[in-house]
Amino acid sequence: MRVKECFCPSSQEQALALLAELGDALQICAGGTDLLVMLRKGKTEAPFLMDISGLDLSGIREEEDHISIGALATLTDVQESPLLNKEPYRFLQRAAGWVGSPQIRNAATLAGNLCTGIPSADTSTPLLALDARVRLASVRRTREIPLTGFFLAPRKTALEADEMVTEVLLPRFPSGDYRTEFRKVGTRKELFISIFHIASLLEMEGPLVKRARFAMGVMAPVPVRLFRTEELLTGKSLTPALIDEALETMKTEVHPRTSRHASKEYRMMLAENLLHRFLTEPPEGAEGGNLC
Amino acid sequence: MLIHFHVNGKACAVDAAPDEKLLDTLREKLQITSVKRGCENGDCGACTVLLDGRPVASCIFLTVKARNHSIQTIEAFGEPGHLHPLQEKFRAHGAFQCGFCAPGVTLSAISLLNQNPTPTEEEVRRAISGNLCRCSGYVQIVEAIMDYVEERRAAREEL
Ligand SMILES: Cc1cc2nc3c(=O)[nH]c(=O)nc-3n(C[C@H](O)[C@H](O)[C@H](O)COP(=O)(O)OP(=O)(O)OC[C@H]3O[C@@H](n4cnc5c(N)ncnc54)[C@H](O)[C@@H]3O)c2cc1C
Ligand code: FES
Ligand code: FES
Repeated sequence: MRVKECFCPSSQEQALALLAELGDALQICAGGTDLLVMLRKGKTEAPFLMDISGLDLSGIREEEDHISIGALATLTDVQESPLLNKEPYRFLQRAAGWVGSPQIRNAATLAGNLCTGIPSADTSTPLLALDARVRLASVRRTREIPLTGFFLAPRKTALEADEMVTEVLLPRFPSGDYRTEFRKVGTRKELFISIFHIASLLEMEGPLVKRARFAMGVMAPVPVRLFRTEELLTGKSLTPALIDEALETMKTEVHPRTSRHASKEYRMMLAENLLHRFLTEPPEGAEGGNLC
Repeated sequence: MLIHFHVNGKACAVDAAPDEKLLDTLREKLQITSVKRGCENGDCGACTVLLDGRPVASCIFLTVKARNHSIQTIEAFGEPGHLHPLQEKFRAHGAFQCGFCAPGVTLSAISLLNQNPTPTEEEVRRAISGNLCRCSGYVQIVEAIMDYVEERRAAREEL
């Protein structure tokens, strides 16, 4: 289908009015790094495009009770933001820094990464582990939902046809002894789509786990938090027996599938090994990176 | 839709289709064929241009979205007879073979060096990680960039 028109609104009101009028016929283009590939391959259609780069939604700001990441903030902005260059946010910077290539990260937005709704969206796991929320706007209302309620199915999110994401919100954390890590696994060293990714956060109080947060991607139809595993570890000391128990609990919380990229057995093995490694040797500072 | 932007320092206006990619505008309308058409999927980096100084893949960048921005292609930095000193290094090291990846690799490297004049080899490798080269294996490319970095560092220290 031919694209008939590309709208370039200069205010949020204009953008929301267009969304209200055109709904599903209008596709938002943020960085366009996912959208333009989908359009070219014929995997999505859009009679109308809306380039939102003229809106006032860039920037990463510290507010009273959260850090706000505007819908136009790119992955490079996230990677370079001094506000996020501290714990427990550094694993988000690592994850952003391993998306695609510099060319992709300079155009792609964090919000767009989430809005694709794909299980391999790398920033979804650290954002889930951080209890991120998304702010959605439409002419009808503004609402805020936890990221855990945002992913519904592969390529399907809680966004309604007339809504857009305006901000991603991160809660502020009290200072503490945090250990965070992001790992993604693919088939080569750079520029690959994850076959598995994991974001881990521990807050230690002496030998005891004060707070534990884990999220895994490509281990279920949508990226998932491991609430039961987290609960099991909270308040305890990380003994080998407890770590074994945590791995068993983790296995009940994920449901990997075999795809042409990897088998479910391989994905489960990655999940076990990488969670085991994080729990036995929680990194001092933030760790992150890719493995192949 | 009439789009205004700067290309290599010059103000330009082009009439762009709503889903036109910057790659097509630069190659077909402005005849800048150093911007290569490779995978058209964002994977290979042959179509790299600098947008406000940062590399982007022009094959997956809407021309409409480039309005009011500044675009640089390799012509902004060197031309036959007046090569950029980094291009001289690539030549001296025999870094390229077919040369298809060269404009993109060079732009990625120049962008890095503008932000960080003394990168490590690891930083150089990451900066050009979005530029695939089918011929070279990257060794001479990285050596040439590091040679340039070292020469600059030495020149600064002499001052
Ligand atoms: C070569 C290549 C490599 C890649 N590698 C990775 C990778 O390693 N990891 C990874 O996770 N992804 C990867 N991607 C996918 C993609 O680049 C990312 O998901 C990126 O973050 C998408 O952001 P964007 O701003 O470009 O989104 P766009 O393409 O602009 O939009 C994506 C989707 O979200 C919608 N959308 C965007 N913004 C909003 C908003 N504010 N409100 C409502 N809807 C919105 C759009 O309508 C569209 O449907 C890769 C893509 C390419 C081409
Ligand atoms: S042609 Fe643009 S990245 Fe390959
Ligand atoms: S020299 Fe041929 S692709 Fe790089």
